[in-house]
Amino acid sequence: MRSALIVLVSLVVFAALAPCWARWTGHPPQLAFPAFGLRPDGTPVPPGGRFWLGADGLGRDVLVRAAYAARTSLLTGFAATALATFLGVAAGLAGGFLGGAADAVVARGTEVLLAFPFLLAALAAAVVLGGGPLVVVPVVAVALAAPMARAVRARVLHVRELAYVEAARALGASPWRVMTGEVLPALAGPVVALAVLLLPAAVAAESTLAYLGAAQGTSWGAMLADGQEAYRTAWWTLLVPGGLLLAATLACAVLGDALTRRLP
Amino acid sequence: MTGFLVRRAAAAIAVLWLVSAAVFTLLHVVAPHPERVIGGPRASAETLAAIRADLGLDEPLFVQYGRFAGGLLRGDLGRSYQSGEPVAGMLADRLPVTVLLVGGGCALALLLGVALGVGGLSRPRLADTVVLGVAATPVFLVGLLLLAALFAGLGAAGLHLVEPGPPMAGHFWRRMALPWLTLGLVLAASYARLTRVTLAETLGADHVRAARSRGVAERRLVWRHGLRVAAVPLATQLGVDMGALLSGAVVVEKVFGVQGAGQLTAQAVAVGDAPVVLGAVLAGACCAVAAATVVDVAVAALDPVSRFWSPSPS
Repeated sequence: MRSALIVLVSLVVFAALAPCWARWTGHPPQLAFPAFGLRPDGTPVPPGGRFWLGADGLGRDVLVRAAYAARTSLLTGFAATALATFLGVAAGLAGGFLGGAADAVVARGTEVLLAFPFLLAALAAAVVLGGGPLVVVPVVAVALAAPMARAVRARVLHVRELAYVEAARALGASPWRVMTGEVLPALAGPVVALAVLLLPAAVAAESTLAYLGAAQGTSWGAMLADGQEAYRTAWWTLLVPGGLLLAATLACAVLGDALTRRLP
Repeated sequence: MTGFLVRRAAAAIAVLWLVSAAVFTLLHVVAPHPERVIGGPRASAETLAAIRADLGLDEPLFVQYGRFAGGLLRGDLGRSYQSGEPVAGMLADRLPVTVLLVGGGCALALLLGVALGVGGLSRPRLADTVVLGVAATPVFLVGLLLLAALFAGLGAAGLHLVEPGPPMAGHFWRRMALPWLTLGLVLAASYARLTRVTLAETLGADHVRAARSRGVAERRLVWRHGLRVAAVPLATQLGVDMGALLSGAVVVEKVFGVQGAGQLTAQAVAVGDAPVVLGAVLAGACCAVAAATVVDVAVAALDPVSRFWSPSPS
């Protein structure tokens, strides 16, 4: 768990320093340097010298681009996870607490969302609405809200029957007060643990969309799509973004798993 | 059982109708100016107006919906913005490849998952860690790393083992092996965990302990008593995973250049060809709903209690 936290914090620092990497190397992320970045035969230069982690197929700096991509991937991941958590908690709480028709809608809705090919829906949204962050974040969030809603609903069904909740009800607390003041705080632990597990899924979803060309911006997914064209002569174009993406998703997964285990 | 089948079919139809309504909304209400995609950036105002009229975009929405719904019932998904070909035909040409990819990936995932689940019984911590790591990794990254590993290990000769193209036109194994392996590996993770957990639970149950005390071999207990119980959660999980499988197929087709419906969709996304993408969404929804229905019926056959299917399981 500690190593996972260290990896995550270093990734965040690496991403936060993106403008500094650009200044220290003198290579802005979008600018190609065909004169220095490509060898005479047109292949990218390897790590070392002017390009600390090598250049990509167009002669752009892999290190600087990876740092800016880390910003896109991590920010999108955090935003989508936060939105998914909010949506999932709201839906799960409403379904589990109110029961009846609201519950039926939440239960069926999550089932459909879980079984639906998420990527196809995301691609459709991207092609019609464009692949900006304002499209990608909500689409990813809706897909990830389903498991959250399901878990929250199950937990609420259990918590609402506990003695202290019944006591609050007996003391005359309004349903709203019981829901927000008594039941909601009891969800904090499981919700945080599940949100940490949703984070790698959100980062993975964003990079997958970028890999398929459906999300804009410099992203690990887009770098990997470029790297797939160039890796035979330039392994760093594939392994640098791939390694960072792998580190991010694995660290989040290990952290989320450790948090889940510590729950009562 | 009849009542169950009727309820299940009604739910499937309701979901498909919702998806088609969403597709209509995206194509006809939200989509900003498809005539600009078709006509290109330098089309004149008259050309744009002619394209709009040709697509029927100036008619009232309910007329457009009537035409859309009528077309759907006849299996007409509209025409590609880019090539003008009927979308249904384009998809029908490519779907067999994707179905083959998903079917093989699914079978491999189940085989690997059950094997790893049984194997993981003795080392639960290690098994959990491996499952966790694989499940968190994006499918395309697994595919790319497999490609890179093949290249690193065997050089250019390794890449000859992967050949893009339609698998029906020869080189079947070369074209399908790595795509199947990638899809199978990623999805095996959840089955492995499910198998292990269910087995661990069942092997401590009274009837299994009784069988063990009669001297039944441990191997037979696992395969005969344990896996029979595990079949129900495994089948249920398979239904849930259908969406992930289809999403995975789109990605894997792009990574390995398999020319299936997913590759078609990815290329359509790149040029903004909305009817093709939305046709693929409809086809994907049909596949997912059909698979979920088959799985539910199979589970009902395996486990009579689940036949009392209701809209809100608790």
